[in-house]
Amino acid sequence: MSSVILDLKKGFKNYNQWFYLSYLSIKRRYAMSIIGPNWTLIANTFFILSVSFLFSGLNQKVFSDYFVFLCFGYLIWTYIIEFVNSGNMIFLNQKIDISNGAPNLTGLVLKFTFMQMLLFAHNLPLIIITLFFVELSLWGCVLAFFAFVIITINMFLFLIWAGTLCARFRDVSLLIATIMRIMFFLTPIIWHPDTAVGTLRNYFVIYNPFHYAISVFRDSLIGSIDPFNWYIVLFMTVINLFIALIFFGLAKKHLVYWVQ
Amino acid sequence: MVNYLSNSETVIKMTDCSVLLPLKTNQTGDFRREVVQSILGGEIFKNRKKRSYVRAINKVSLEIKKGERIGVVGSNGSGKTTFLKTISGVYAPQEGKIDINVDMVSLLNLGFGMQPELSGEENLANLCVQFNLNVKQTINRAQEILDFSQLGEFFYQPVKTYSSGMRMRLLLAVATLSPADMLVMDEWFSTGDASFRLRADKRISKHLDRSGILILASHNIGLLQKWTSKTIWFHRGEIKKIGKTDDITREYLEFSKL
Repeated sequence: MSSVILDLKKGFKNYNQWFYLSYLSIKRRYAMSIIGPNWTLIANTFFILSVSFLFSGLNQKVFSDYFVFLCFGYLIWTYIIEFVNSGNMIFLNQKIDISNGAPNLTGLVLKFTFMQMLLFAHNLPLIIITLFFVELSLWGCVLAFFAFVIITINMFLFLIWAGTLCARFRDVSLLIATIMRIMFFLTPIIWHPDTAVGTLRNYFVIYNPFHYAISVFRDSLIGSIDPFNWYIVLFMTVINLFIALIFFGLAKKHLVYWVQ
Repeated sequence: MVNYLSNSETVIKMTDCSVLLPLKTNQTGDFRREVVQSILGGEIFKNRKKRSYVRAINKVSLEIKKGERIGVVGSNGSGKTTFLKTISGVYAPQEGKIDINVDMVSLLNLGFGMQPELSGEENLANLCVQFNLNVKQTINRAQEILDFSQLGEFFYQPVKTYSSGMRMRLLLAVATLSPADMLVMDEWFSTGDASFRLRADKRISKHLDRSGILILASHNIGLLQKWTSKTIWFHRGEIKKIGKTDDITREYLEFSKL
């Protein structure tokens, strides 16, 4: 376990270097593109506007209300899904560096986390514009910020244990991709959780960790804060921390063999 | 098991170290196993859980002391790279133990620490992290890197346009920016041209000014004879012989002709 703590300490100590590397990774990803990472903003805006127009009509909701609900929920969902779908391959994708002596595994996870944060920041114009449609409170904004931080911490921890698990069992990555494809529809993102009360669909709300993660961010900005959601998210963070430490502790020295 | 030695002349001590690399397939039949084993080095076997492994190095015991310049020879698959990765701390041996007490720089792969779409200049930050260097200080020394690597305009072009020799020049230029006690290099170092090797010789001597340990795996016997005084000959995952470079390389060449 001491080598894990050492690895974590070393990674966080050089956080500024990993932040710079995450910037370079984005640059590499969008090499030769004129619009670059702003495509994230364009794609999300286009999707949210289109779906809002369609579903507000189908569900007979006020366009602005539905747009606000979908916008905050969908943006934080895309943030989470990038971690879950791409992040689980984090160690396998870095196999050249890991199998040739990458000095710090935590750093690789930090780099990916910073990269996703930077990409999410490109959505800020859309978030700011959408805030004009809600009754904005400072408390709500502060809570939303904390929600974002706690989601990021959870995703960082998820990358550690899911990354090691997927390096060992290659099918896990495919299983995650299969599950996440349907989770978008099962999670209250395009439909409101209140509409599920009293139906079987409510199980997808109650037993869905993504619902709580999305709710703490979205509801803080909309202004309907439910403390229960926060308790669940904090509880998930503690569980996530334990799983990450156990997995990393058990798997760290084997990782180099698994990624070959 | 990896331990760290207290201050002594011995910087690396390996005791009965074996490294078992997992194989991707478990379908290895007896005939195929025999063929692979006869061509390559290590023993291929299945463990209790019926997973296939290759014993890449087997019960290797040796000590590396301050000031030693060691060459590593052996046919393909004999365990040279696994040995280098083990002393670099990449592989923790499943059997035996290794004690390490040295600050080292390992150059094991040409793709290490570089993103092909980024330029050589942009890749400096990546390489700094890999070699535990400060990014700002290294970027300030870009001119020095450029002078040594002689990449010219290519320094500002994507690394994917580089030849293997150019990659190696950039990698070595960054890796040797700060002095270290030990430099570990795999056989790809031979990709450099003659003029570069002369410059590299001076730079590596300067780089190893403290205790000057060099471990170099190569098929280039001339290079080994010039740069190393002692050579380890690996054969089928085990140390066949250790001795003076001139003697071992001569024996190795004679053995290879058979």
